[in-house]
Amino acid sequence: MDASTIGLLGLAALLVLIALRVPVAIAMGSVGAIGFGLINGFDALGFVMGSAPFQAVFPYTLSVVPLFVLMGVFATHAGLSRNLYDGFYAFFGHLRGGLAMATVGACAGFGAICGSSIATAATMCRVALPEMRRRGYADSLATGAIAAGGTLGIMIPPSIIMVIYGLLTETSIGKLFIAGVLPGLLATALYMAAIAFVTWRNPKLGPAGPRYDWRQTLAAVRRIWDVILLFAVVIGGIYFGWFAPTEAAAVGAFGAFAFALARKRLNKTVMRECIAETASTTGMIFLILIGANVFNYFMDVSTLPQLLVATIEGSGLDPYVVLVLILAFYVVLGTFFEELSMILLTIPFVFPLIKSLGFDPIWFGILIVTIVEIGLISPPVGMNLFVVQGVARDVPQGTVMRGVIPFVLADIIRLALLVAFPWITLVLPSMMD
Amino acid sequence: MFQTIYRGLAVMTRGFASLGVFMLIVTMLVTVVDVALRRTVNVAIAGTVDITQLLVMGAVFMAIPFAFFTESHIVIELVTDHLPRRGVAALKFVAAVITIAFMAAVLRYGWDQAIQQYDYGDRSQTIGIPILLYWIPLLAGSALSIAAAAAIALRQAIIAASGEDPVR
Repeated sequence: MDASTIGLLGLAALLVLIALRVPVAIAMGSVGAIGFGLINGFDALGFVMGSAPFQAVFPYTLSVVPLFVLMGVFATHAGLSRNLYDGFYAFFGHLRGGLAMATVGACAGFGAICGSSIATAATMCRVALPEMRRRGYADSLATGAIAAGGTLGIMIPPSIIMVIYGLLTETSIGKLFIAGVLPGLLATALYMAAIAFVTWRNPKLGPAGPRYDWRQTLAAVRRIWDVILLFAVVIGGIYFGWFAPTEAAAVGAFGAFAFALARKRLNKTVMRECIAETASTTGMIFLILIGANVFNYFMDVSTLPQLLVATIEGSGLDPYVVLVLILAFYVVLGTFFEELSMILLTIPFVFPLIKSLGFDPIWFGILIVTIVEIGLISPPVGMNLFVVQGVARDVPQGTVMRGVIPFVLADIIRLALLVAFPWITLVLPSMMD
Repeated sequence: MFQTIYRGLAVMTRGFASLGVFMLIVTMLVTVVDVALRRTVNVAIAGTVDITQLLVMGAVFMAIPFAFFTESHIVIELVTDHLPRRGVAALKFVAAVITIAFMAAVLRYGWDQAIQQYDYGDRSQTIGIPILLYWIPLLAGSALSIAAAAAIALRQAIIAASGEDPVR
């Protein structure tokens, strides 16, 4: 049997194991080990199994991941989300669907200090859902806005997904972060437009609230100084070259920790929760990195990625047609595959192809993050849908799924805009040079 | 008896994870102090990179067994969602056995590499921390992950066979 056939059989075995509930990381690692052993001999496997797990954690650049996880956990427990929500409510509350718009705005703000979409959705769900329900909002709009808004956590920097993509593809994490700013703002605007559209068609979905006077608005805006400061220091620090991403993550984690401490939020119970959340997320992410590292050794020796690049280059297809096909493949894959695993599994194949077609790696990274966002709110495996439903247990699953439809459409429009106008993504990182 | 061992392992993995997060907090503080010193008095802490790498190795490998015990590692439940409880337990048992095999290979070959680097006298680049110290969390974390996966395998095997959960 030749190497590429073993590679294809390995991919099939991987999908079977994943379908049978084997943890994705373990499935990637064990298939990778056996596949590598079959191609290169089991004597050589000892070196891979000994060095791949070490190399998946040891590089200094990877330290950025657990530090951003820590920052997100402290930010979640510091109680910054409530003030963010009030701040955005002051601007949008008097509009139809204004509470849902405030939710999306607050999610964008929270995403600016937390790199996880799940943490953003879970945090904002606790703050915004009771308020929207109290004001007579339809459950579909309320839960849809939170699930979709939560995805902004990974587009607006800092973003753990961007860090992983950057490390996998050796693309500048700092530039990826900065590249996410305008697409993140575009996403926020499109989500708000989607809310305006659905409440224009059916005003009962999101009735308007009372208008704040300018004093109340000013007071509400003043209360979000801490979030603005944290974002400015972390992302501004990277943009202006004050510190490297790992240092920025440490400074951000320290800032979030200090805010939580100053607000007297860190009692014994909360610290236990912080430890559990940080440890389980860190352990989960790095075990996937270890599994993916072993799997990538296998993919390398199977020559499948090179074969794929050669086949597509030889097909004579227009690069943009190939890109659209890849994006369509990702959108479909993202609906039933967990997003981090999807990236780790596919990027080793797809990235060489993208490079050979001459596309910008930063631009492609932002497109991938956009697709991950779509996957997070697409049934049946949309993680944010589960998160929102986990908090709003009395809301039927069908209602949550119906609620995200306008936002998925907004995401698809955004994806098309980002593909058509790379400038939106690339203008800010180009200024960093 | 099994329940006591299971609970003991749960406490041990949590203790390991807490130590790991403590290391992460130390990483955060060391880095912040280093940045502050560099930007104010133009003095750096020697070996910040080496220290960070060591502490992060500790944080990660001490967190992995905890993630096994709390079922935080990502699994796709789409296909097996509608299986009866005992069927799911049987699949979880198989997954735990594969996990044991994988982590045992990591431990076995990691040990060889660690010993080899110790024999060569390998040290970190800036302040010369022995590389063996970087391997200790990996080896300890892998060993505890095997113990955690074995406990999970046994628990799921009992559920699959009898329908009764031995841990209440």
